[in-house]
Amino acid sequence: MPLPPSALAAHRHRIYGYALRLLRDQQEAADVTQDVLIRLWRHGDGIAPERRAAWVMRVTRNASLDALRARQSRTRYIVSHDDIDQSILSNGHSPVAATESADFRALLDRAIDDLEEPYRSIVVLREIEELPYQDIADVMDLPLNTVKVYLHRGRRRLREALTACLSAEELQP
Amino acid sequence: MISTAHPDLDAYLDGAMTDAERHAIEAHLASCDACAAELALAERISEEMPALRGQCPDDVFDAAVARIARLERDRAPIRASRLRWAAVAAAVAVIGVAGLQLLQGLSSDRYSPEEVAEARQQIELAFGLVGKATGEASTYIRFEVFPDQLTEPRDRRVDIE
Repeated sequence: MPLPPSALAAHRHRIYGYALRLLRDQQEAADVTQDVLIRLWRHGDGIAPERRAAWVMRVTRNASLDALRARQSRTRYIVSHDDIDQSILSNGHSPVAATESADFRALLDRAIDDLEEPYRSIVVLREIEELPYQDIADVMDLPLNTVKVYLHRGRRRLREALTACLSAEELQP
Repeated sequence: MISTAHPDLDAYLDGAMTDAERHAIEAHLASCDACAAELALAERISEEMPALRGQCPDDVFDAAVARIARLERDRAPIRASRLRWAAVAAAVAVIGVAGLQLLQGLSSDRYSPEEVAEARQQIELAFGLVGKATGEASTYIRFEVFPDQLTEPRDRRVDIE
């Protein structure tokens, strides 16, 4: 039995937000969001409600990676299968510059985008989407302890990135 | 300049420490400006994170709902056809069972041979009609319910599975 549209609405923001973090393109994120919502409509009734968030994020991740591979195919950028996650998800932005913006939130947003995978995804899933550790492990297909180690590294890299562009006064407690 | 993060800083932020460990960290923070600054930064990051949650535009969600509505409409005729087929099959089964029970009843001694012969003729006529209905149902199923699967696939957008 398909899920009613009202049950889909609860997941729309997390799907779109995560897809946008991975794809950095609003149109592609919108396309992935629609596809994932339709899959959730078809299959969501067979998934326990407490498991739907993890299921949705996993499907979103896979769909976004597919979209990135398709984008690369269109631009004839060939990568090896082993490197595909890293190369297609690597950030092409320049390092965060302290002079670009004094807004902490904007700097944090940019610093998250600058993180490499899988740290970026794990930080987003834990710190923004507030998924439990085991759900993140299921989404990323990683052992639970690996998720915790990667989260620790991701948090540290965020702090290092922000420290590099905030003044000493702004860093004082 | 901020030093390397204290290895227990994240555990402290997550509340994943014993009371003794927490007291030790807090004593350290009281005397280490660098670690205190890093903890303040980590707490500030944690406070700002929820505000960075993505916001799906209304038109994106509305477009998904519209596509779902179209998919629902495409599915409805097939569901109705299958319900009709199920009703036909149920009717055939009921008639078949009733006919068999009648034939068994006719073997008793309560009826004359002429009555039995006439009844058998009527039952055979009924079974003939059932057979015709079954054949028509089979044709209906083949060409109306599953025309695409049994002949050529319909030209439609392939949804992601």
